[in-house]
Amino acid sequence: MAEHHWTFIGIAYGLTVVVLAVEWVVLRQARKRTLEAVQRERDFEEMPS
Amino acid sequence: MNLFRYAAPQSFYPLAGRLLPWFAGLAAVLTAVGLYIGFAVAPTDFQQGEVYRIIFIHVPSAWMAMFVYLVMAGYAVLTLVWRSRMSALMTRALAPTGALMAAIALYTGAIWGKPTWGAWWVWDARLTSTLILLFLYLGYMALVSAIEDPVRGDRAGALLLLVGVINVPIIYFSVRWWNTLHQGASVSLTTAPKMAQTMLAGMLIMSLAAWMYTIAAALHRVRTLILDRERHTRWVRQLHALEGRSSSRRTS
Repeated sequence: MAEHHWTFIGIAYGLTVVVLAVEWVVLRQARKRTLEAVQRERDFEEMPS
Repeated sequence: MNLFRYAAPQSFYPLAGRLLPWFAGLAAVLTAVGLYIGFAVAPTDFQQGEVYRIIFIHVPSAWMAMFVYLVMAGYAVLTLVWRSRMSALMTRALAPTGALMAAIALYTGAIWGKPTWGAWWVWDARLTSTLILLFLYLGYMALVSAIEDPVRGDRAGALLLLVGVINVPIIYFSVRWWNTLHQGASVSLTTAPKMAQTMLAGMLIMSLAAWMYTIAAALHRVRTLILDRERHTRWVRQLHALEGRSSSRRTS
């Protein structure tokens, strides 16, 4: 198994980079969606009745 | 300086925005330094060979998973006793990153376990209690998102957190209380570390990086939660109008 040590290390670190990158993408998307929702509500309220 | 003013979302929102880049930057720098020490300076382990280098993410993420849960339990007390809005939002903001840390600890442990123990998973007390911690995080997130009234959701989530906090000392002391395949603590406040100084330095710096990362992610998430929760208030409308103007000025 010792000859595969670097493979195991690569999987562990590679997977972690992917997982953390996904978290940041999700965070940014959620913020974008929320800002759009705030904007939509503001536009709706500012519409002349 | 009155720190209590930051218990109000409209005061905390700009502060979180100012702090976020600093914590994210520190996380990046500390990760680079920690990985350099972990891979270029720390020696090969005489028993485990190279694969021990997984500890530079496994141990910090396991520590963070436990610590974040304790912090959330602290915020849960503030939510239940003082009905603090920011505490409830911070609890919600920390949960996904805490769950992620628990998941990272579990899969990196499995990847380390296969070449070291010959098994991806064993129903050992440390592993099982950490898996329960992950389920507690997921249960908390599912519970607060299933309750439509956010204030009721905050209170129900806080109660679940306080019930589940008993699991944290169980995780920590599991390697002492039971005969486990998982090794005992290599780092303790009362005894000398059982590893080389460079290995310990790499692990501690990576732990600091995990702290900075968690704070940065929580600040980012809490800003979104504040906007969502307070979007009917005047200050969010004014803030959004200002941010909209400044971003359009930047693009023009």
